[in-house]
Amino acid sequence: MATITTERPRTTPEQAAHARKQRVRRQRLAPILYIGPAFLAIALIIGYPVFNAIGTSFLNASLLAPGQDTFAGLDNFTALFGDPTFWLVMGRTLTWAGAALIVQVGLGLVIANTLNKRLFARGAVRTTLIVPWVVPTVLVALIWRFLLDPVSGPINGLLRDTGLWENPPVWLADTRFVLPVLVLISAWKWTPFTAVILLAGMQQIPPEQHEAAMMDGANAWQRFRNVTVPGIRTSLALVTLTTISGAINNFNGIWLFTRGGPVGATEILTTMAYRTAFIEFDFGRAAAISVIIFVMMMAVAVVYFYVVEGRKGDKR
Amino acid sequence: MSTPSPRLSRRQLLALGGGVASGLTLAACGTGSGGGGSDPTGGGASGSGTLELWANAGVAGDSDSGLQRAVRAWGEANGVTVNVQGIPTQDLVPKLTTTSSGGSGPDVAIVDVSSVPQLAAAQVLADVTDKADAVTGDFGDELLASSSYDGGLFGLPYTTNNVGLFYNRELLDGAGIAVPTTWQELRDAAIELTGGDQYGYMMGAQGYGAFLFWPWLWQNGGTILSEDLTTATFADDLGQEAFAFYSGLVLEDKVMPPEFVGANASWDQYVAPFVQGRCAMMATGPWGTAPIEEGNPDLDWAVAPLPAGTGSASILGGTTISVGHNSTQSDLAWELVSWLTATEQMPYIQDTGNIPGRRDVIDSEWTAEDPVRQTFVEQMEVARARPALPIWGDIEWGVMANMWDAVIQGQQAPADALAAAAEETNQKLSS
Repeated sequence: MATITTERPRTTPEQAAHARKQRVRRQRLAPILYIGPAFLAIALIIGYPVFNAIGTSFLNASLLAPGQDTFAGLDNFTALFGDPTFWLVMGRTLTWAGAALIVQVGLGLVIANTLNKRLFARGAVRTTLIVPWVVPTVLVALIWRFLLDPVSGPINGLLRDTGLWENPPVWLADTRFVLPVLVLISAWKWTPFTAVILLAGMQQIPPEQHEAAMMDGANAWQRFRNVTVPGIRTSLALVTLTTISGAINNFNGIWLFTRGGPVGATEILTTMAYRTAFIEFDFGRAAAISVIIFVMMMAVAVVYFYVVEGRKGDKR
Repeated sequence: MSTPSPRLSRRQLLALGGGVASGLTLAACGTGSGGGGSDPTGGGASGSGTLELWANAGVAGDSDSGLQRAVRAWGEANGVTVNVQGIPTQDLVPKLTTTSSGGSGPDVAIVDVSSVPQLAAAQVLADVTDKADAVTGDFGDELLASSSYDGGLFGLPYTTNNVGLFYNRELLDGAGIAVPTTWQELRDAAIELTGGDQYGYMMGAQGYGAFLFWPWLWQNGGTILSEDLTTATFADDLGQEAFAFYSGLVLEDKVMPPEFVGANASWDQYVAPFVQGRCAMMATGPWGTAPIEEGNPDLDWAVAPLPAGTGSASILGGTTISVGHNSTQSDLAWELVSWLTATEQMPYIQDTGNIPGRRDVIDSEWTAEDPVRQTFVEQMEVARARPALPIWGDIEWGVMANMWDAVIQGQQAPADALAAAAEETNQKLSS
């Protein structure tokens, strides 16, 4: 033992560098080993289907003719891009996402800002607020289908009884109203989530900043505009992007109410993909739509990482 | 990249799941509870004295339903556990098709006759031609034909039905109107009975309205497709004439309860205005009886044959019971199928108010015991089957359903819409 300790200082600089390198290499290797199993699982669970979807999108594949798939090249994509309905649905998907963004983030801001003040029974209000968010979408559909029932539903009943609207519309079957109504129903479910994230962001802002602004004579709007909003920029970016991606993927929020109807008035890309796959059984075409959705989601994800993660990096 | 092979379809399913579910949601949506392959009980076909039976929710019913009592009795006698899964009507075919393409699926399935060709082509149902040889004589030819595809028999007729004219006796008697027997009488009666919050007649939206149009087409001498099933003929002069009359009841005569445009989710939703006593007449099948008896037992109603055009016609419906293509216990499954369709078990079906597919029951005195049943049995003579095509579901619930919605939403003139639908159908037939 003693010999070793005496020998140690005698190691050459080269040897020392080598040992350091090894240690560093081991330190670099360890985390990879730690996350390896999880990474592999994710790669299998997410990567495998994604690559298969991409593969299927280049095939003529119909469930009505099992095992008779043929290579189709880009046919599924060119057929989609040449179909005016596809562009209509694409436009509607973007409208749907944009409307969700405006309503959910707008309302979320109002609610969060209100709850960020001293309020009577603030805790109770916050808890109640979150209820719609935890209601399963299937239940949300049942609740709203009942509320909006043209004959026995309370909403139309109220409109008739108060004389506000003599012949109220069949909300979920009227091409003029159905999309806005679905936007509002989805907002009913998802705004609480937005509000909670934004509220958390607002509570990170030191109260001194508000106090200082008040001392400088800023009114409520100015304080919101110049203290609150810059303070929650990261949360705002987060909810903006989750709302957009959530809306593009919000299949249940439409399918459970209208199945994309009437006359395609509420068809978005995900319902179109489902219809193509499971009603027309054209899996190749459906996979192509899925791939397009996938690309859109990737774009959202890239923006998300750039804005949110990149900003964090700056602070460090 | 994937190479074509019979195993491919399972991967495609995963693929789609992943692709759309980069949307993350698809796997869980649409099909409701108990999703196919991943469900420990839903995979079926695993041996050890368990059979998996899938049917639409109406046929499966609750634990006291005729079907469930029947399979329990058989299961106890044979030491087999039969799991009955009720699946919403609109989800049954997609769910069967996707689980089967993944190599699983139920051992026994009860499906609507109109989906037999599709499920046969997609290898969801097994060809039972040889197994059924001894019993085919028990069923009428027309019913066996609607359980067949491409020369093979893919199940046995379980129940049979057709569409009749349901009418509210109180409303008709009150207005001194006789039960209509012709188109014109129906139209006059419907106009007469419409006023205030009361309406004369109705159809459904979406596929419901499209489905109910076929009898009108046939009554006018028209046909859906050419005999060789390659061209749409429903938009010829006879078809256009029938469709003009049919859609005229909505657009010109306005005899429909306004909410019918939203009746796109279930037959229960469709019959609601009739059940509430707000609509005097409607066309529907025996499945319309249960919601009336449950929702408004006091309603005074009856069923008459559909009013005739230049001829009489109704639409043949019903269910077929068969063995799953992927069942690993197809012999045991077939035992259950043949037992369920044997004479002794008919009371289980009769108790539900449905008409069994067996000749000996249809010809028995039981049919005469109830006037409603009697009407449906009499109409069997003029009831016609829809084209036996694998893509039929896509035509009826896709092309025709959208066409009908465009008409009742006022987006397209009836004649243009029907012609466009015929063109679209031709494209689907040729592709």
